[in-house]
Amino acid sequence: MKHAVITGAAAGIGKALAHRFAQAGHAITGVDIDTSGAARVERELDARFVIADLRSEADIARVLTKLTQEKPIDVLIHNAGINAVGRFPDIDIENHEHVIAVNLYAPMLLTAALLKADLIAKGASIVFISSLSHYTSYPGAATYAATKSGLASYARSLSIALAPQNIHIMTVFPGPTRTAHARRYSPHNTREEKRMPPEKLAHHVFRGIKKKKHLIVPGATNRILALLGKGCPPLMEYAMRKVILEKL
Amino acid sequence: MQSKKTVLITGATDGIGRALAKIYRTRGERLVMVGRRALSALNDPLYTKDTYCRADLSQNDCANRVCEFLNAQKIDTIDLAIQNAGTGYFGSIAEQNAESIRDIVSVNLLAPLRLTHALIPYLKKTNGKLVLIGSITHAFPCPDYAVYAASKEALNTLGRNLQIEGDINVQIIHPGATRTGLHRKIGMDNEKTKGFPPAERVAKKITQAIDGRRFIATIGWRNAWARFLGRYCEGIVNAMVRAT
Repeated sequence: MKHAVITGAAAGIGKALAHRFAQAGHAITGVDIDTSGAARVERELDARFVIADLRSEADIARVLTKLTQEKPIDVLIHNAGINAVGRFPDIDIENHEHVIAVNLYAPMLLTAALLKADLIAKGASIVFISSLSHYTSYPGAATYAATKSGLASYARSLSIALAPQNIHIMTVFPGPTRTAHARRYSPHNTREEKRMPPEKLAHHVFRGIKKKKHLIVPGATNRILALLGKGCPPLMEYAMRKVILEKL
Repeated sequence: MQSKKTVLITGATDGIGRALAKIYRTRGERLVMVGRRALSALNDPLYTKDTYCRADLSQNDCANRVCEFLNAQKIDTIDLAIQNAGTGYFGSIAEQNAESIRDIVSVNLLAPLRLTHALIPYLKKTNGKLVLIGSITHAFPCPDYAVYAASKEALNTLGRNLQIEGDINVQIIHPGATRTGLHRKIGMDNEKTKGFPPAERVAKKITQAIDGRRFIATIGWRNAWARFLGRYCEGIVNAMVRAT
């Protein structure tokens, strides 16, 4: 039985990923701060959770200790993420720091420590959930965007560093997804049904791992937005300013 | 006659930061130089108790230290803040310990974040400029210094989004490899670093970029091309790095 470790697996994309990989016969270890959400997922499927606050280095160390007692990891998904929206100066510095800690620092710490402890199985996949903001920009969430691009860069370096060990690295750039996370941070939720369901995204991730893809932008619309963002940054930046920043 | 401008530079005791400080001193600007070392250990008339602020940028309270210094010096406006301080690591990802990762994220990313947050009121009063010193490595896969490159890519994206938000003037400047103390510190092969341009030359080009208007500037045309390829021909560049 393969072993999948998913951070932020108590809700949203992480929960959908846990379901998708459990369905494919993986044993799931979830990491989340949300005790009740974690208990719910544990009841729904064959999953065990480590309750941890990824802002805290002590908690990250505890996650590592737990994982040392388990089987080597075949699929590691760095999915946990938080956001802080508003104009940069209006957000408390502590919140900015938390975004860096959870979204970027924790995945890098976990990855390095798991590699060092030889807990990543041969032929394993490490997946980083970045964001479409890497291509489109995200004014109103500058720190969030910074962490997601940092993650993409880290994954790119990792994919070359770990290729000789036959470890596959994949970065996912999801666009708007129908989760509580998105609802909490978006300026308007009137067109929520347009967002991609997390189950669909989870399936894209699952298929991406099967095909050993390195980068995936799930969804045709998102792929067009990514292309526009890359090919003509001022256009997407203007659009993002109108759609996000000015509505905050 | 133009009045003196206040220029703040982090990482000002070595390499590019020190060279930048010398240029702005020659121009007659008022300097605020931030560094980790004690003033007594610096042995250079460039640094005085009125111009040198000792602050360890790897610590949570670094922005408070800088603001206390500004208060003590009765400085309430800044015209130019250059966030230049940076640190690195060279070696395999699995060998890098938590302290090293923490140090790089703190100095290269959290410190600019904290200082930017703290300095915005000072910069707004003069319609001043915030300069983030990145690195062309942000556009490349860097298997031997993944955390460093990631911190610089995050810094680049932070700067880009701050530009779009438009509360202050932000400029991002990406130098290429430069001959500084950093490579020795992180144990990078010294033969290779001998071919890098000296910090003084790079600093001069950085000041020219600061005087200019480009939002994102790369130092040196070769570096500009390399950065362009790294960003837009990802697959080819990855294959090239993999082959080396």
